[in-house]
Amino acid sequence: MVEKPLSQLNSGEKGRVVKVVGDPLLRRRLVAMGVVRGAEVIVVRRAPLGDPMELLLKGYYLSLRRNEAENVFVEVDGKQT
Amino acid sequence: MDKWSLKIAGSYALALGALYVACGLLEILSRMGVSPFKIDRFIPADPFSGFASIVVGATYLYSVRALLTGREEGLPFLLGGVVLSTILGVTFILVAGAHWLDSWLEGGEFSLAEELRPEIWLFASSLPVAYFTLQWIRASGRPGSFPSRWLK
Amino acid sequence: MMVKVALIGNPNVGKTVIFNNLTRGREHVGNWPGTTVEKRVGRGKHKSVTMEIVDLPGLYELTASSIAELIARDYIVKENPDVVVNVVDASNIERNLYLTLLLLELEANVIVALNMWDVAESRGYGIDVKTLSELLGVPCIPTIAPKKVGIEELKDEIVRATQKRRVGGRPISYGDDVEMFIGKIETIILRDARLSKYPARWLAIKALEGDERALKTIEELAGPETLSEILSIVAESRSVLGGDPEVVLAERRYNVIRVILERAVRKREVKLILTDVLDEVFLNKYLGIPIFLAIMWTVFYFVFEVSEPFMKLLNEGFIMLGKLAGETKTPLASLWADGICSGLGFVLQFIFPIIFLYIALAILEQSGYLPRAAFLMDRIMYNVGLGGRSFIPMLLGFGCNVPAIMATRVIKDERDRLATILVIPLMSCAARLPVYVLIAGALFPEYAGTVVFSMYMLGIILAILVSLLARKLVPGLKGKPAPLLLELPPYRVPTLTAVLSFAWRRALVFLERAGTVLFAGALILWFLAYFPWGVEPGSGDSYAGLIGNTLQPIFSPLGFDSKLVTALVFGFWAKEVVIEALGILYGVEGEEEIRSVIAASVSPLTGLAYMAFVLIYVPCIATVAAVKKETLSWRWAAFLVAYQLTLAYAVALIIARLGSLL
Ligand SMILES: Nc1nc2c(ncn2[C@@H]2O[C@H](COP(=O)(O)OP(=O)(O)OP(=O)(O)O)[C@@H](O)[C@H]2O)c(=O)[nH]1
Repeated sequence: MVEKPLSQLNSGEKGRVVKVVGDPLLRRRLVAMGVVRGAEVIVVRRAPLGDPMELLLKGYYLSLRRNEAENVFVEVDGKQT
Repeated sequence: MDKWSLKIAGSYALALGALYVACGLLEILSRMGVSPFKIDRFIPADPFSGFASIVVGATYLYSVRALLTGREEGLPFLLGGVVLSTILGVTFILVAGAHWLDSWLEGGEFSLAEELRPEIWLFASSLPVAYFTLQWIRASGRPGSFPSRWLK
Repeated sequence: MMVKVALIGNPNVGKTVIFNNLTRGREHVGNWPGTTVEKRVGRGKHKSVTMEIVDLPGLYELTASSIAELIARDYIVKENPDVVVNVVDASNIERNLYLTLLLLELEANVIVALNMWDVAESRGYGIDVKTLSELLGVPCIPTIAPKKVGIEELKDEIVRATQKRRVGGRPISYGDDVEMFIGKIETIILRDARLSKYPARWLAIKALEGDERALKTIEELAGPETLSEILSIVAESRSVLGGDPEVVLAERRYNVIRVILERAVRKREVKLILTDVLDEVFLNKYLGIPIFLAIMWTVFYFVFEVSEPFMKLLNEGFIMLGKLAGETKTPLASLWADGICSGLGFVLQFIFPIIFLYIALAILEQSGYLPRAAFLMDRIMYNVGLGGRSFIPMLLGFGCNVPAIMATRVIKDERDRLATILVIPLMSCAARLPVYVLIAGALFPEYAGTVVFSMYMLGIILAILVSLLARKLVPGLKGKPAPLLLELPPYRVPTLTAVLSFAWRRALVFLERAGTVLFAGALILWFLAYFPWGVEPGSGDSYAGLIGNTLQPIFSPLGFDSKLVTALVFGFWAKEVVIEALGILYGVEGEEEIRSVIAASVSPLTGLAYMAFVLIYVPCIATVAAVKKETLSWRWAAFLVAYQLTLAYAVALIIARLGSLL
């Protein structure tokens, strides 16, 4: 199990949220949308220009900017850093 | 979907995609005044609709490789191509209607040949593909018939 | 008996369709007081019970940090509706139930409508309604709104619920540790009679979450001592719970939901989901953006080609109407023909592009493509200080600024929305094109295309600069764009009635509000052009001409003569009018003639500066009216006019000066 920011996951990778940090307003929005500890998140794809990423969580699709996804830490199976 | 249907669909998509791209290019070229043919009655000189046609064509062509090797991964692009082709085709049909109304009000001329743009007859030629993709969506009512990467 | 029913739910769950089903089209659309958030109220009748139904804005939660959420929350707490119908997307039930839990906390008399039941079934969700109702402690009704399935049951349940009001319901337990703190705060709140009009447990939870509004209410009603007592409990909770209470509470809510769903929902294996298939194409790395551009071009083409015959028809009609008064020899006849009829014609002809643009926009929205467009374009927009949601309205600006400004309602964040409204007028609308074509054609016959194109580019560059500067300097706009957090809903086939009613409503809103201002503006300009009575309309002797002559010295550094300046005055009405006015002022008719007099009397440099000025200075009174209406303040409208005049002057001056150096 490796812990890293959600923004570093590749398309198709799956992680489990361990913590959400950062600006209180953003954090409140994130948790309300279901980005809470224990939630399983799959990175579906990145936008063509590379920035917002599309996630699948709790059965729906959500997109986040990289600088927002940096505040979400997930644990991923795997050995690499 | 059996392999042969996929291959046939792939060939059809190849032809359709190539036609869309060709028409799109011609529309752009004839705008720049360098069209090789004298066909401006049938191919309007409109770089933007030319671009749109090329995009539809490209979407069809995207499906070709997978389909010709009998893999279903091409089907989404086939469906996307049908959707885009419908949007474009229906728009031009509506616009033709508006032009007709305009000429009726103003007493100007209305040429059906000019209004029947390539986008319209290519849309008509896309209808078999629409039927085919509809069959596919119906058939995939069973679980797991499409290798959906994101669904557990 | 009249009962008050509120409808609430996440965005895009089918709330509007349910509303229409309950009211059968009898509705009144307005704004929530002091906001641009749409308020829809309708009446319905069921079993001799008359229902007044209020549609609350679509939202995900009930914090104090967004206007829409405050409206919904205040409505439920203060107006205390008899029944709150929570529309839930059954195919996305886990996240949707979050709001349900918040409503239960609010001690609202909740009924859950499990809408999109068909979609949920096709996704393989087997929801056990009875168990779900028991676990939530409120009635749940499966519905398929467009097919009217479950609507009668929903109405029955509403009537039943008004007769037997749920009291408090079963409180959701957040776990012993959290409950202890909620309990402590609750006792403090219950102690104070002044707070009794709020549900105590809810206020306690909100206080624990650090909700600004709740804390302020407590301070105002119960005094600072009570507040500090509560705050110390909140501070204590932070260390005991090992995290911010609001985050912990959100987690616990999702835990509660998980437990409920484990018992009430069985999930079969999933079939193919059309949305995944389509997104594979529409959000494709290489095809995504070209497809988006092609679709947007199609929208424009559709709107302008299709609305043209209707606009012509309308204009002809009003010209004929104007002729009814006979020759325009008297001021009164002229008022009728040149003022009222041509003014009305001018106002009403906007209706068609607006209706068709909104038809296209409604299709994009209801099909689910609009959020995808925001997703595709967000990177670019974020870099210029806006968000992805701003892209479509700005693009619409190239067609016409008025519907573009009205379309900014899709932008949820108020500051992002204001910033977008302020830059939209820099998108060169279709009305400005004839001016460029004429002047560029007259003065730069060789490079007319390039010159026209560079005007569009100039507009875009200025929009970027203005947006970046505004986000740094202007109070009320300062700061970064709001977080994206954009849901990509499933694709759906738009329904004809929904699309048409959306477009029609928008058109009416336009007529009602912008129309009056526009019409008044048209009359003022008519007066300026035709008076003192007897002068050649619009000539140097008319009031407009006088204004032009008076203002001319200000513009002499730019090289504009009094005729050019007078035409600018008319351009305030609508940009197309600039050309007509130039024709009148030079005493010639027809494009060709105007072109040749301009070629003879205006230097290329002045022409360039003039085009830039036309691009930048206030688009038209319709736009100003739209800005006023969408920002609810004359201040922003005035700010827009002021900054655009200044910017136009500055840019034109730079062009004139730089050019004379070369
Ligand atoms: N298949 C299906 N589609 C539905 C159902 N209910 C609504 N829809 C469709 O879902 C789309 C969105 O419905 P709306 O009523 O506009 O949703 P809303 O909640 O009012 O959305 P906002 O006002 O934007 O928050 C429409 O195209 C409806 O036709 C349903 O039960 N089943």
